[in-house]
Amino acid sequence: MADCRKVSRLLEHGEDPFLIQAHPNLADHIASCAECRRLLAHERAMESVLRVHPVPPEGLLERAMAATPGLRRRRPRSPIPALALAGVATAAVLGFIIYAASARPVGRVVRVFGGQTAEVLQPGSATWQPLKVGDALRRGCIVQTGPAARVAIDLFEGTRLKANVATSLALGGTRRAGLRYGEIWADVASASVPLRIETPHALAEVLGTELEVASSLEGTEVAVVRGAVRLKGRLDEVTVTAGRKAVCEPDGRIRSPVEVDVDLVAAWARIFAASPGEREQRARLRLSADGGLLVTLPWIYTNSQGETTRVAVLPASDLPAIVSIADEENRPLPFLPRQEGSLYLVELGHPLRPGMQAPLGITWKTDADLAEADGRLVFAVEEDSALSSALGERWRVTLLLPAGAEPAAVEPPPEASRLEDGRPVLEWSGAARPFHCSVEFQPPAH
Amino acid sequence: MEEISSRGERELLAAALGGEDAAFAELLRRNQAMVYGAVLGYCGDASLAEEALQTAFCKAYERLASFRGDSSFGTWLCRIALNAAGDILRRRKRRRETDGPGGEPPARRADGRPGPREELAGREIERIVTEAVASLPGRLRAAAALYYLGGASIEQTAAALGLKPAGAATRLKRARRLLRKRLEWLREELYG
Repeated sequence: MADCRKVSRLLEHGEDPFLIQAHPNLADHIASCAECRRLLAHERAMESVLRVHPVPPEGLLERAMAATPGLRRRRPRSPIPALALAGVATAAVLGFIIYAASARPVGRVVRVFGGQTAEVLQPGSATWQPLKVGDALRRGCIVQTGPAARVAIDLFEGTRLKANVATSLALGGTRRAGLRYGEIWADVASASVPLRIETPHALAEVLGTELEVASSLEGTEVAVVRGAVRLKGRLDEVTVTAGRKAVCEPDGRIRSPVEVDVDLVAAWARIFAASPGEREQRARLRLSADGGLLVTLPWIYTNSQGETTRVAVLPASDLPAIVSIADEENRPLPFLPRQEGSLYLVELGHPLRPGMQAPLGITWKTDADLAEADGRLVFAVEEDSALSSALGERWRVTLLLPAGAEPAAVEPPPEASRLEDGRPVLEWSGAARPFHCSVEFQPPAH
Repeated sequence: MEEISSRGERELLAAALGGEDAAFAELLRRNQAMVYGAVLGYCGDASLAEEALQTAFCKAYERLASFRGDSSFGTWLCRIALNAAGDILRRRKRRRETDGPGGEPPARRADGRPGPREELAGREIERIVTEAVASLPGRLRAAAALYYLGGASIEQTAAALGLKPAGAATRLKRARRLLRKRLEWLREELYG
């Protein structure tokens, strides 16, 4: 209780909720206190909203350079660089004017998922328009996806881009893109000029490469699936090769590249196929053997290909373990949890409608946990992410008690209860979060 | 050009001081996102921000020889840009006082809210946050603009404002308290 007051007081004093969360003296308390976690989750979400990092308008630097009289006035040691720069600046300004006037298309939309929140702001337009398949995207446009939308774009020079949920992407001229926030995957066409992807913290120069770039308040991450990428921050730069990931921190420093399971990193892009013919690869995932509590319901998306459906389950925060996943009829599904607990893939043996969101039941207790539960379980479905809170998805919780156990006091009462192989099964579903539940049961006599 | 983009900051500074304007341009390019965000948050208006940035780039060019390298070029440029933005705002304020009331109608609706939740996506949120930051008192505004819109770290914010990191953190706490109050409705709109 004293720690709860401490958390509240720190928040009232304007402390950064991300720092409170990581506070060594409060970490244990926060891990065990649902109310503090809920409070901090909301404040963290708000803090993320505040960190908007606007992207400078197209051509700002060129205009500023052209308006910097010193660049023309000052006499350099050699006149050649100044003349060359003046020529380049003039050409850039003229080029900008010509491009801005023509605002030529640089690509087109090949797939939109969750179209209501996928929008584009075309150059010269003051209104955001919903994106549709086939829309031409003009140079200087900004594409934004909401919390449940994804967009696949083919650039006319041959590069395919996919924007994940909650992403803002600006398309520049020849082989230029700006990622303000969010996550993109790119299969870059080979060319003599590298594709430049700029984020608020870094610049990635890529040439004929498949890569994943994510930008957030934590910095910019670049994971390379094929080829190599030159990642430049304000202070450092590195070459990131296939199978590795590098992070550029907001201060411009770059952490050394580390090995990463790129199939896993890019899984969302493979699952979100741009066209029915696009080949998907199955992510290589490792099974985590540990049991544990599921405290956050995932956000789920699917993609149907022929007779099978692949479902990606992206939990809003790390899950110690999901022990089994069932479909709507409570049939167990084979699944492959990621070791870090942030992506699970489920393969269904039957097709779903393309793009439908699949409500899945998730069993989140191991039998061993239940055996130690001493007849009482308390659990919660919580909000731990700005993204999942905006989704408004329905969740479902299925609780399988040990065989022979008898539920006594269950609050709130389950929507459904039945016996399966002698095991009581209790189910709840809903959309509101947080959802707190308490179950008391008579443990089976051994 | 390829060669320039692969050089480190110190190398670029040396080259710019030696008269290589392309090196100076590269330094601006690398830092423009942070400086633009900071100035936009400070002014609350994109056209004023661009004006301030142009002034700052000119001044930075003229004063490059006085840059001692105590901080990064980016935070030094931010400090110049925020001063330029302050000058522009003061000039505007004096002009408004001279001209009397009038001018453009407020961009916001009467209740200050954008309305449907859908409108809160993307740029709308950016505008709301920018306006909220720009409405903070001067010292807090500069710190919040650098941190939230410029993407600067606490250390960079401190360096740009000539403070110790603890001083910058204190200003940010006070700014955060005010922003939370002013944007409480936004949080409710977004997160219920």
